[in-house]
Amino acid sequence: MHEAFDDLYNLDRACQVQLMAMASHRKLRIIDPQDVAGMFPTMLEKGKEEGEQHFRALRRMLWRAEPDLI
Amino acid sequence: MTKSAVAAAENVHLMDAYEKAYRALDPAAQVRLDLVVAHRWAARWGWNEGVVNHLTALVPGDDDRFYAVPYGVHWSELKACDLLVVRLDGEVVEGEGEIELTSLMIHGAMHRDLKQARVILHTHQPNITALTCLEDQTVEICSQHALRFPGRIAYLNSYGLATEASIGDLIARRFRIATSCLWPIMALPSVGRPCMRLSMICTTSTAPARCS
Repeated sequence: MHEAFDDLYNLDRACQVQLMAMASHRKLRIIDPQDVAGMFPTMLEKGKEEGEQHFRALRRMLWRAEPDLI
Repeated sequence: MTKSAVAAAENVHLMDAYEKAYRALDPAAQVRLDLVVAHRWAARWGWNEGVVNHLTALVPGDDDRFYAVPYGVHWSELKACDLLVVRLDGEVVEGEGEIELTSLMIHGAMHRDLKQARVILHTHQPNITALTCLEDQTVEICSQHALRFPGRIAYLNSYGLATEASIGDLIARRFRIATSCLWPIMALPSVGRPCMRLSMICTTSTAPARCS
C-alpha cells in the first residue's frame, strides 16, 4: 500500500505541476531522456523509502485525529 | 533539555507508539487499516467521486478474495470493520452490504489476472482527470515528480462503461505492462444527455515494467 499510495500522490503532483506549467503557454522543458534514464533507478529506490515514511506519517496523523477508523 | 528538545523527544515517542500499535496487528488487520487510511486521505484530498471508484486489496495469503468498500459508504466515513471480503466472482463472504457493480467489474478482473498487484487504487483525481481530457494526454517528464514514471504509464484509449466485464478484462490486459494506468473512458448516458467524459487512474504495487 505504501508504495502504491505514494506513487498515486506523486502522479497527481506531476499532473498538477504540468498543467500549471502548460497554463503559462510557454514551452515545456522536457528532461533529457538520457538524464531521465540515469536518474530513474535512484528515483524508484528513493521513492520506495519515501513512500514508506510518507504513508506511515499519514497513518499516524489520521489514527490520532480520527481514532474511530478501526 | 530545552523545551523544543523535550517536544521533539515526545513527538518521537508518539511516533513509536503508533508504529508499535500498527505492528502489533495481524496482517489482515494491517491491510484493513491501511485501506481505511488510504480511503480517508484520498477523500480529504478530493480524489473520490461521490461514493464510487474504489481502493481494494487482496486478503493477505489469499489470491481469490479482496477487501472492498460496501456500496454507499463514503470514503471519509469508512471503518476497518466495514470492509467487505469479496470473492473474485462477486460473492460477499464477510461483512454487511453489497459490492458496487463497477468495482466488481474492474477490480474483480484485475485481482483475478494480476496476482502480483496486492493493492489496486482507482481514483478520479481532478489534476489527472484534467490531463486525460486533452487530445494529448501525455504525462511529460518535465518535473521531479514525473521522474518516477517514465515507461510506467499505460494509456488506454478505449471507451466504454465499466458496467461490463469486458472493460475489466481490457484494463487488466493493459496493466500487465505497466504499473500505472491512465484510463480515459467515455460514459454514454442512455438517453437524451450529452456525452460525459470521465477518466480514472489505477495504480498497483507491481514491480516496475516497461510499457510498450
